[in-house]
Amino acid sequence: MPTTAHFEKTKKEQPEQRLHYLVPSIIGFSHNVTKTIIRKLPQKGKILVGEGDITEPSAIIGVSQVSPGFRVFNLLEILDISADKLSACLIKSSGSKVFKGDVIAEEKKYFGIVSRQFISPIDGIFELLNPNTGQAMIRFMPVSFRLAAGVHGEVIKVVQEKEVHIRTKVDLVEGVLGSGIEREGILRIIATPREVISFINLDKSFMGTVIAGGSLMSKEVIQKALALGVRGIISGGINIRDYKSLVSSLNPLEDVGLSLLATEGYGLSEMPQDVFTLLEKNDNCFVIINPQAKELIIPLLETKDRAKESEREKLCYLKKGMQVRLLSFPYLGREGIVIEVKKEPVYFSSGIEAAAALVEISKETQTVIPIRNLEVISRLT
Amino acid sequence: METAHYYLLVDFGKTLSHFFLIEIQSQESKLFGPVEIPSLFFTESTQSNLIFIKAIRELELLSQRKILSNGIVVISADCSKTTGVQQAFFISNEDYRDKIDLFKAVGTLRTDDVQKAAYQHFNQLHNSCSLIDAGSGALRFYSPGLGNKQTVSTPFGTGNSALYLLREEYSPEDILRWLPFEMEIINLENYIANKSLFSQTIPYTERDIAIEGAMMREMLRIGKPEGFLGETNEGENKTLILTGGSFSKSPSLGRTGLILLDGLEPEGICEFLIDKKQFFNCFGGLLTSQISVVQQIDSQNYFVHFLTAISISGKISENEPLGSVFINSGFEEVQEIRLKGGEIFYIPGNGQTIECDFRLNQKLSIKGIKEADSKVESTKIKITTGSQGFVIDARGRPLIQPRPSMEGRKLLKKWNDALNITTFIEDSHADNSSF
Repeated sequence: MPTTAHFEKTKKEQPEQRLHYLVPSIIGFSHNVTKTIIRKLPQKGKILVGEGDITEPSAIIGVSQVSPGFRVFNLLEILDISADKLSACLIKSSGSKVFKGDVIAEEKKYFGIVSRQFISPIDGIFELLNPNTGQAMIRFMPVSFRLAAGVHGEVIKVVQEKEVHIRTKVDLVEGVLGSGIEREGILRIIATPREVISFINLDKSFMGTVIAGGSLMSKEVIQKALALGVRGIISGGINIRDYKSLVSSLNPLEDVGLSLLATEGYGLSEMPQDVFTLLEKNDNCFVIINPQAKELIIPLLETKDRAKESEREKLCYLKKGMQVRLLSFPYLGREGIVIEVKKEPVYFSSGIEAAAALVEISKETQTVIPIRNLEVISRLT
Repeated sequence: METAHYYLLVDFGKTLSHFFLIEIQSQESKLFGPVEIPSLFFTESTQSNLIFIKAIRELELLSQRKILSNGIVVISADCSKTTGVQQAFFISNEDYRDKIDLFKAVGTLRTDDVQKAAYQHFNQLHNSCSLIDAGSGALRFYSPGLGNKQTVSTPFGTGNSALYLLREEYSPEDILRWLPFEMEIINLENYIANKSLFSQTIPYTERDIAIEGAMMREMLRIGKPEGFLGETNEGENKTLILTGGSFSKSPSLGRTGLILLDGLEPEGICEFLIDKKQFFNCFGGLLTSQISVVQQIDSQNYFVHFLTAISISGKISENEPLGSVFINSGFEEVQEIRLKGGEIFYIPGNGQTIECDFRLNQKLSIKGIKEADSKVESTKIKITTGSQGFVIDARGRPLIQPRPSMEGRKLLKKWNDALNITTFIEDSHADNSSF
């Protein structure tokens, strides 16, 4: 028989190092960490920096010509003609520049007495897509786009004509739920952690901003923000029904026109005070909201040493004194301190037996909760 | 004395992974484990290998057998050694070879394949055997009535697939109707959505377990494919095996039984078997690789027949007198139960064979036993009760579901009380407790 020494060694491992005390470790927020920001041109263009260059936030690091969009028309319907008559009606050829008010095509009837015209509503490039169906497009006139670095940092990689990777120091806020594409803007605090964001507080001064705060972002707030040109919203929570009504596919890749980030989950959930304090400190600063990575990146105005990025361990053993986030009702999103890690499994009112910890949520409230329903918060400063 | 054989079995699920050691000696088997770990500990950590080794060390503690040496699983064909295992089986639909060194040496069996193998085994053992695997990512149904493949997988799950229940075509009110308390729909929706975000969490309050029970009822109702628990030959009982975290970890067998009656609405006589240790996939892994070993395993030890359900079909009104059933358990007196519409009757038992003599109204039927409008006055059947006994479901088929209202909640309470569910907490400590 194997000696008991082998098993005693396992038993003697600190009890807190047993597997059932292993929990996910999250950041919540980090201060002054190194991160690589990728700055991209919206379309192929010219990159103006090289590897090793040092950037300032206002430095232009790339330029390109960007077409803001296009509109599609059906000439056969507009002119009320058949496909065989289309070429005779065209005044402007496909590929030519047109300006607002130009007549692009005209159909004359009854010896010229009656005419129907297609007049360009915008400046752009006219293209005939399909002469058989009459589908035509006017592509908006390209505008010059200048890409600013947005951050202090060092260029560590250049993808020619496309993007620049800059290593920089940032403050980072992590969320649990994100939707949409990466956007940037100026951070504006709009509500305290306990408040629900009110759409009444939103006005046109928020155009181009990333608004932050509050325990809930409602559908009304999101729709108004979209109309006002807000780039993103970070808040404690969002009701799933509001999320569904906006992101019908429930696919986080779907973009509704602005970027959304919830720090706690679904439902009304107070943003942690220290996360809010960090955001307040950076009010009116340039930020990047990246819902796919579930992050809000706040580039620091000053950068010191160029430390390497370190890989954070995403698990740790639960111990007394650790700060934790609770993941289940009725304390979803609340933070607390571990008072005691129970040595024996606990029977809960549901009848389930599980490894557990006693957590103090406030001076008046302590609760015993399964360890599986906790995440350890490790702030990086 | 025949030497023992040992097998290390690891099942990597989408949310939870289970480690087992099985010892087989002289036609007897002993199962150690499971050691259970959230799967994200492997997918999210840079120390997957170390965690894997720790899990096996936990298994060593449970079994008092050395499996590892210098951090490597000792695989040895020599049965006389006191260390190691004859073989190791890793079961997963994902490829963890880049994260855990041991995988490179041993390889994996696909979960889908081992499940099919296990189901085929049980289908041969029992007549008309069906199976439900209720995992966090999918709800799988196996049944002879499901066509050539005999299986249907649905995207419902109580963990990271919970969001599927909130799709447009499904109504949250249908979940609300199964809750014994009032709840705002918006809060229910958020609860379900948060389960998909935090799928490793445990329902630790009565409220949580009630919500998850309600979710499971609707998932079964919506997901149950046509032909599942289908027709049986006259006189044959159906067998339903339950596996997956949502069933295996249920703290109350009574609650599980009621979920099945509400969600599946089985007809006729159905025996419910539960996989208490979530051993099903590993059992399939053994079947796939070591059939001779499996013959020495008494599957009844691990797939426990806990309840037999007899369901009366037909349109039945609340409190309608339905007739009587006379139960002969082998004692001197025969027990008579007067059956009333809308009720569930629970009779405790412990796996014994009893005789039931049903004297029902003509219009009613028990599928496979008594047809509707049959002129037979007395229908005698023999059943084997489960380890907890059996139930007679006199609510009729199709089941008239409760409404999300005070009256509906009273109805739910009545059904829960019939199976002692409201008082189960005090009794849940023992393995063979009553409901």
